[in-house]
Amino acid sequence: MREGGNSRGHLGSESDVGGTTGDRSVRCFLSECGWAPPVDIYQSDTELVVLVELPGVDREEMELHISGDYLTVSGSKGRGGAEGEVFRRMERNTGSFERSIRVPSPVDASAASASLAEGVLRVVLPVAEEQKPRRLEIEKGS
Amino acid sequence: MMARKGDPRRGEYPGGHSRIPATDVSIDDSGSYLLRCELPGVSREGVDITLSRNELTIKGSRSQDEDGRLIVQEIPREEFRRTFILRDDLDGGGIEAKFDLGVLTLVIPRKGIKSQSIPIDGNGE
Repeated sequence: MREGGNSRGHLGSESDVGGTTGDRSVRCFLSECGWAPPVDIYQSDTELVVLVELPGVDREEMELHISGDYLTVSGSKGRGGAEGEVFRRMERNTGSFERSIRVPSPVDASAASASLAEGVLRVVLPVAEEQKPRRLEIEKGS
Repeated sequence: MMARKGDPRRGEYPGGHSRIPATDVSIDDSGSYLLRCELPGVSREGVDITLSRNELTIKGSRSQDEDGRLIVQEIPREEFRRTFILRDDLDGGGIEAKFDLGVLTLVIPRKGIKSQSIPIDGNGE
């Protein structure tokens, strides 16, 4: 498959998972789904933020699931256009899409939230309490 | 048909790389051209559309970065940039733009064709 740098270069098998980073925690299962949107994942001490590029897809046209270690976004995207409109160039991905990523560290799925702005889905997964860094007190020696 | 100019894969953009936004081009039943250009992550303020003679350039930069460490990156960082050449019979001055869900839609009308309602003769008989 193509190297990173092109959002449409991620249609592929498991051999090209992980995009440009080579991170095997990202898995893209494409069996019957048409295309897979690219993602970025940010990690901080308190949360994991997953960004998914889905331009032209409205909230009602996508579904988000978290099951076990896997976060999955799926849905369908129309090309738009009025009756009588004739397309001369079609570069945009349309039709059904699906993308799964393996969440790289334990999160509190019940407190997960998601928002959609400017064609980017942003999923916030709070880090599980026991995974948060904490300060250890050093006991006074006798 | 509009041609694309300045393909960065052929090194035609001086001064850095850019990301080519996926674009659909269509013609509606009034002969206007429609461009639907995907600019995910770009705010309305981050979109820059310029028309110089017959060269229509669309640029877009992503508005903000997240906090935290980037552990997986598939989304390119470069700004979006693409130039289209307008045909001579298209009216660059009459372009209408709309931006929704990260998709910029431009309607480029034909020269000399003004949309107007056409009265229908007869008195409803």
